[in-house]
Amino acid sequence: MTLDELLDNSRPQIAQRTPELLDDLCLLARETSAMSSQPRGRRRATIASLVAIAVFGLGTAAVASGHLPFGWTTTTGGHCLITSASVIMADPTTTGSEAAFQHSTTAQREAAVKEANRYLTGYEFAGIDVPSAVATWKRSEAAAIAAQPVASERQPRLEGDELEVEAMRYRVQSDLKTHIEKLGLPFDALMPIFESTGTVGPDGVFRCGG
Amino acid sequence: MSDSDGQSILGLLQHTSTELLAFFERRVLPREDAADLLNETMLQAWRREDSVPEDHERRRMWLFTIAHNVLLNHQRSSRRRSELITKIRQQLAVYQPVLDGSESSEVRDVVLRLPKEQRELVLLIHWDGFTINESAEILGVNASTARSRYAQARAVLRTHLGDATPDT
Repeated sequence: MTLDELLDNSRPQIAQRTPELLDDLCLLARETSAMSSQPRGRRRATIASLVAIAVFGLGTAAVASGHLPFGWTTTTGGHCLITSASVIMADPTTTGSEAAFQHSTTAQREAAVKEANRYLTGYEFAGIDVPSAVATWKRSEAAAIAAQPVASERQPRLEGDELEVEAMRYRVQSDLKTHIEKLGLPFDALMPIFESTGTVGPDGVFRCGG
Repeated sequence: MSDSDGQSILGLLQHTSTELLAFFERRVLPREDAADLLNETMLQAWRREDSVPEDHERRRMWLFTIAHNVLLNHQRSSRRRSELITKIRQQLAVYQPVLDGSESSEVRDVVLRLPKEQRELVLLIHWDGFTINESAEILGVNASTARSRYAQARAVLRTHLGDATPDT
């Protein structure tokens, strides 16, 4: 059995879909309409294409930093915008952060979060050399891909706007890591969160705003 | 398509309700809590009616993104149950799922021990049938991050599941 088949078959069983249950689900859709406070009959004026906030990392507690939002025009003509950069405590069960939690105190981790957010608030995003950041990212990406053993499952190389946004995130995160570790604080206990505006099109390609 | 009378979103919710219920059934214990989470998802969908996308497939993704966020907030939420929700909960409890084989349980255990950002991707793809790009959208990460995490997850799974998973 292939890995895909094993994973597909590991899906837990669900309750039987009886006619009664299906009727109740349809009824629930109506009941929730009445329960919601949204007045009916109000229609949005326009529907823009869905503008996604690309969140790099997990969590939603991003805090706007002093030098943000920061925007730049990419080589493909898109206007990319980093809207926030902040740090929360990592989940200790996440791979990569368990050791940091074992080898640091609560006070050290809290100090790391505080210092990281202070650092990001004062970070000069405008001072980033974008071509240099892209070159650095490409080296890191190439090393990561080379370490992935199964050729058919290797991650694709980033291109276009997605490449530049990721390169910027990587540069800021690398600078933050250097700063935090220089202070003897546990960087791996942190979860950096960067948000940028952009759209994932029907083709699955991420693009910054036009 | 007009939303002016609420029929459009009603149809979407009714059409997707059993899929949404399954999404929660596979993730929460006790399983009956899936009824509460479905209720909350529908409520939030109605409240955000003004932001429902026009495109049919985008609307489904929009709904599952709401569902994912409801799941994340599950432990924090307080619930009031209507009679209908109580009835649906009872049906979920009565229809006990058939016990599956030990191999499936073993694979599931390995999957559930993955780091959560990898785990949820694997579940969305293999339990719910979403593509990587769709899963990325539901989780609020960009597609390349999702692809990278999925590749990492598969590498870990191959290691743990060993000989049972030849390359295809």
